[in-house]
This record gives sequence, structure tokens and C-alpha cells, in this order.
Amino acid sequence: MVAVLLAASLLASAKTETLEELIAREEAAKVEDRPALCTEIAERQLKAADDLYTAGKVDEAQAAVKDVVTYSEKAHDAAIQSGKKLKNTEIDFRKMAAKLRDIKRSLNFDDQAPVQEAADRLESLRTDLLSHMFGKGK
Amino acid sequence: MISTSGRLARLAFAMLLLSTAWAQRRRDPLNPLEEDQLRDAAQDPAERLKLYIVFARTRLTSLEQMRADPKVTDRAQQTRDRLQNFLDVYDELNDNIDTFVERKADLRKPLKAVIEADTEFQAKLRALKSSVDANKDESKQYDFLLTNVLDAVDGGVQDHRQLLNEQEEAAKHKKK
Repeated sequence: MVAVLLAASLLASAKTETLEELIAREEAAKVEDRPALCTEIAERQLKAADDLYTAGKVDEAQAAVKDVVTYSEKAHDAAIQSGKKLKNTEIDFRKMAAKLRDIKRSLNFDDQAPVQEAADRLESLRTDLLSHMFGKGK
Repeated sequence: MISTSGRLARLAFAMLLLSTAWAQRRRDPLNPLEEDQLRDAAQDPAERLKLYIVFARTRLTSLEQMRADPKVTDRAQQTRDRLQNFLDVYDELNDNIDTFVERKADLRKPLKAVIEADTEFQAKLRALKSSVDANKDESKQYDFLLTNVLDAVDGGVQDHRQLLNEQEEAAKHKKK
């Protein structure tokens, strides 16, 4: 019960934290806590990228997309290193890749490549997580 | 000295490798025609969600047709690929619903169609699960994926029903 309350309060605090605070917490976190924190950062940057593309701020949006990949890679590495949250992280990557593909379709052809590359990278990280879940990546 | 036919064969092989590498690198579940249809319906939630239902249904139908075809030899791999394709489209459907909710769109009508489709997808996927349970050797390659797809659709049905209830409640309060 205490663990559930603690997890709920951690989740609630993660939602109200600024991105900078979340990043600082991730940097100081134990390896087993990093997959969830890094995924949260990646998801926030994905939302930011979507909003920035809608606002026509393409350069800033592309920087946010780069963050999505960077923090997804960190989540992937931490999940494999700790052996925790592999399935949750894999599902989160799948959903983020779907969002990236959807964002890509709303863009001009010239702006699509970085978003497609990010979606492909997430798919590749996801495949790697699946391999580890089934013992092939060890 | 390499003959012309030899050069052509090498060129064809290189092109095949390139196209395979490109296909592997760029994994998009939708074809260009479907992408165009979605672009045309960008501002219309009802139309866009309807398209996603059609695309998802097409993937499941294609899966059923492939499994019913006695000539298919790599059944396990093809089942896996088609299930993944369906899941990718279904994830995008859910992602679009989230986006329209954020924009405060009235989704009551399209959600009813989505829930109907969810029920249809659930029934087809459960039938597939029952049929493959009888053939463990073949299903090893995609059993985990099939469980994930069923989880996604089961979760989807609940979320879509809850969202429809919320939107109907909100609409009642608006009327008062």
C-alpha cells in the first residue's frame, strides 16, 4: 500500500515538474528509475514538437524531436541495464513512434525526413528491447 | 571483363538490396494513397477516424485472407507482419483520438463507430488466438505480439467507452 502511494505521489510530482526539474531528477536517479523518467521526458518533448510544428517553429520542433530520440535511447539503455520496465518502455516507444508518424504526415515534404528518421530510430530501439525480453539480446 | 548481362544482374541485385534496406529503414504502415486520404481529412475528426477504422479493418481482413490461403508457406512470418501492421494503425487511431480530445472536438458520433469497430476487431483477434493456440509451434513467432495486440484493443475499448460517457455527460451539462 505504501509503495502504491509512493508511486502515485512520484507520478503526480513528475506531472507537475518542469522539464528542467525532471531532467535534473533523471540525472540523479537510480538506473531502475531512469526508464520511466526518460520516457516521460521524451513524451513531453514529443508533445512540444507537435505544438512547435503547429506553430510553424520548425527549427525548434526539430530540436525537440532530437530530444525525443536522445531520451528514448537513454530509456532503452537504462531498461536493458536494469532489466526493469522493458515491456512498459517498449509499449511507450510504440506509441511515440505512432505519434511521430502522424506528425510527419502533417508536415511539408521537406520537413518530413527528421521525423521519419526519429520514428524509425524508436522502432529500432523497440525491436532491440523485444530481443532482450526474449533473451536474444543478452 | 564483365559482360553486359553480368553488369545488369549486378545492378538489379544492388537495386534489390537498396530497396530492401529502404523498406526496412522506413517502416510506415500506411501507403501513399492512404496518407493522402488522411491529409484531406486533417480537420475533420469524424472522417479521419472513419478512415483509420477502414485502414485497420483492411489489415485484419488481409491477415484472415492470408491465413485462409493454403498456398502460403511463411504463414508465421506473414501473420506477424500483418499483426504488427494492424497494431501500428490502431495506435495511430488512438493517437488521433487523443489529439482531437486535446482540441476539445465533439467525438460522440465517431466514437460510436470506433467502439463498434473495436468489438469487431476483438472478436476477430480472439478467434485468431483460439485457432493458433491449437498450433503452438507456428504461433511461437507471433504469440507475444498477438497478446499485445489483444491488450491494446481491450484497453482501447475501455478507453473509448469511458471517453464517450464523458463526452455525453459534458454535452448534457452544456444543454442545461
